[in-house]
Amino acid sequence: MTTFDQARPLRQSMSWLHTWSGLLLGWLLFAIFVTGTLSYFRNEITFWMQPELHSAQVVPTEQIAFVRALALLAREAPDAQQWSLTLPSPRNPTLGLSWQQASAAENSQTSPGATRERGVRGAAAADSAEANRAPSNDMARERPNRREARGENGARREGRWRERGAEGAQSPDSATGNRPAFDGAARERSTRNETRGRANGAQSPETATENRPASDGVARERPSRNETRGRANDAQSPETGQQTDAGQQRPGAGARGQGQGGGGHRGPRLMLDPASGGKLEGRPTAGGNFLYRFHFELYGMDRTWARWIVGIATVLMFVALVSGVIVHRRIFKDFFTFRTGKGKRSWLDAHNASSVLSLPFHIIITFSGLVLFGNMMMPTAFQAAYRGDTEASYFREMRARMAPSDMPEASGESAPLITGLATLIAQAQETWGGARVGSITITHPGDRNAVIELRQMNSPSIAKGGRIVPALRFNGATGEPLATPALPEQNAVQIVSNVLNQLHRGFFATPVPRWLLFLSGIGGSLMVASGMVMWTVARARKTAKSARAPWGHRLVEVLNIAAIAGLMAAIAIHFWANRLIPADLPTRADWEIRAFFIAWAVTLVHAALRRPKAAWVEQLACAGALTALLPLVNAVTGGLSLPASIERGLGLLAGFDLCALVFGIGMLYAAYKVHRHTPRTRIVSSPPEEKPGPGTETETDAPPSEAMEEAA
Amino acid sequence: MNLLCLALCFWGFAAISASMERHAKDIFAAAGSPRTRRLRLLAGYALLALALPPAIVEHGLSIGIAAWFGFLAIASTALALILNWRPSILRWALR
Amino acid sequence: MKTLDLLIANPSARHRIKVGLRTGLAAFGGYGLALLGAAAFAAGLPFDSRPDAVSLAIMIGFVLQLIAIIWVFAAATIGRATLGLAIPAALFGLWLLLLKAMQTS
Repeated sequence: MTTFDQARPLRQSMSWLHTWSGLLLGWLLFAIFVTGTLSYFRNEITFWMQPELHSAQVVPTEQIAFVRALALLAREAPDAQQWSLTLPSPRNPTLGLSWQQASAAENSQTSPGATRERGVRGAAAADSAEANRAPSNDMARERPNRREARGENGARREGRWRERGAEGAQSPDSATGNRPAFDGAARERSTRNETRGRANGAQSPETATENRPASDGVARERPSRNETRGRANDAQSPETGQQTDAGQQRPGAGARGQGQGGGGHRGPRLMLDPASGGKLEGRPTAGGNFLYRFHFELYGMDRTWARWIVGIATVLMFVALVSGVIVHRRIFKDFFTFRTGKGKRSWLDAHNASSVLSLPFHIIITFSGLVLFGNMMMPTAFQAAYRGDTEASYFREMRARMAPSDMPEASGESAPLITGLATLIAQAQETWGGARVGSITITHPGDRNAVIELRQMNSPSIAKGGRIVPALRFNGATGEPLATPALPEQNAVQIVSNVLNQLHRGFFATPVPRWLLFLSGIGGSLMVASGMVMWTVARARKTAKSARAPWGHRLVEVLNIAAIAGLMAAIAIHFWANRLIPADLPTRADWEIRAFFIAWAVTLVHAALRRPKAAWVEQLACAGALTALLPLVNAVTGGLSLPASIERGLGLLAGFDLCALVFGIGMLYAAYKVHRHTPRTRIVSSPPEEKPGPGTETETDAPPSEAMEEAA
Repeated sequence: MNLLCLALCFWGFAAISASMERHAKDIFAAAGSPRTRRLRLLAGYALLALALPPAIVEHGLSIGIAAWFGFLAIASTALALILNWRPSILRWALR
Repeated sequence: MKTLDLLIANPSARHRIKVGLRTGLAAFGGYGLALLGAAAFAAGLPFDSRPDAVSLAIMIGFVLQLIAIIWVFAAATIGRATLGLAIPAALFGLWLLLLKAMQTS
């Protein structure tokens, strides 16, 4: 017991602080770490969760069916202002098509005054990170309205998640400071579209909402805005990861469209087999975006509240990290020390090793997580800098820091669009020294002033911000090269915030850095898990002496089991549900998520009812078996089997299956170890129930490798 | 380049661990003189520094540095496991 | 905290109150100081572009919060802990008032 207000060494106070700041929201932190770590591969997860897409063939660029894709676009969206094609990438082998419909997408903005303000607010709202950066509470205030409206709509109850899902797609894009530039572009464009759409007499279902009561107007407007923006982002986002995100999102978004009986105001997002140009229809699912969004705004609760909870957990994590470094007696001397089979000592070693060895990652990921919540948690910064000014100025100035997107206006004269996209791609790749093209946007298709813009797949730098990638432009009618938009200069502050942002999100990443982030994330999950288990291990002896475990100890133990082993089982169940729920069930996307939470709740009840050791063994074994069987489930429920995906070169599927196999076997091994374990210090007098849970003290030896799997 | 970076990181950490008395005993059965151990320490840091250029060549400056930290983490974790499991297999790498 | 010792005889309860006070001070004092600091830096940083000042001030704010929390638990007595938060808070507050005065004049 640390006695405050008495002379005591710093280490002692810090040890107290480390223990309790770590424990207080440790279970939540573990879930955040695990789901956040999986989010590095959320495109891959989404793809895995849509076995209908697994048939996409991997072909070289020159064999991609661009002609058919363009013909399809011309048929489906002849009046679109902009078409975008997301090229097949290692993270998504399909060819994604989307367009920005020249329709009255923003028609609820009837008054020009409102347009500006809403546009700005929308800019904030659209993207997850920027949303919480939004300096005012307007959004928060607006949200309940929206929900009520939704409630009235009854049928829309489901819509909430889906909308979130849809936003999820865009949020990555949206998240950095660069974001507003694109918002701005999107907004302007959509306003333009509106005019255009009306001039064309284009009627979309959305138009009907124009005369609805205000609250509903808000409700409907937001999603539609997001979608517009989504398209614009698709079009504009120079970053592949993001484009892929958007691409991956389509099915989810599509689900929403279906659920709502077709949100006709926006074109669907199509996925094609790159070789044949045939449409691929993925099942409705939130995909990897569920785990992604869970890691920063949980689920099923008010987003502002959820973000605050996650924000507070992050602050605690930050405090625990730094106090932990202060506490660590011999950070360099024990750098490589890991001793197995020594009970509590081994747990301490595992905790130290998982923390210290990737400490830079832990600090960056925690701090950048806080900074992403910056405007929400530190609103005074904005208020002080913009005293007496509106947030509109803030976003305008944010935008002004970005390069303006100076697309030429349409001429009004029609001219056929060139179809030799493969040639342009080859040209671009040559210009960039082999770097791949990630996406192509075609502005004013069919016009004499059509512009074809090719964007590089991966950003070559973190410092510039993931969104800023090299691009090349060509005239769409003649194929002549046009001036390339200049990349904006960035100052030191922007570079720092870009680096934080990018490292957190990992958008920049080609496979190797992405795997490094993923592995470091596993290290972080391990760190949290081992720390929490240590809390019970450290108290095990004391507890064992007393006839009954104190309720606090019992509580921590139960929560540990459910939060660690139970979460793993719940995630596995989520993936099983993805395959076992019929693909044509209208509410299937929600049931996948419900299956996750039901499973998690069951593990909590189970942990509370069983003895700790039995609970650890059973849950770990269950999670391990469920996870290890995922490749099999994938193969028998319509997905591409592991050998086939390796043969076809679909590394993203093979990677998912192999990871599942490795983690599953690791958890089974951990379960076996816990099962075989007998506590070193047997206390004869204590009844079996009170024995220290061996799961919490695997002193036989639990090499960190399986603890690692356990955590991942 | 990625593998080179990882190998250099691992080698560097192995040398650093061999500069510590406890690990040196595990690896070589004898700790070695303080002078040899200091040399190992210096060589270890030099190897870690040498691992940075390959990462930068592969990924560019900003991503390269980030990747370097990632490789450092992985290499040191692997080393900690090997030191616990079979430290003597490191012997061939560290003369 | 001698007064507390006199007032409450039960050492365990005394301990709990002390821990509670520190925790409260760390949570609210730390956050309050961070808010003030973020405001002071956002208003005072000599940047041409205000968004830059805002984003840097936010980062500084979080670091301030961290330091404040650690300080509250490290300080020898709760009085010193409070003082350690109050002095920088007063400085930031003065700076903000000064800026406001300059702006209005």
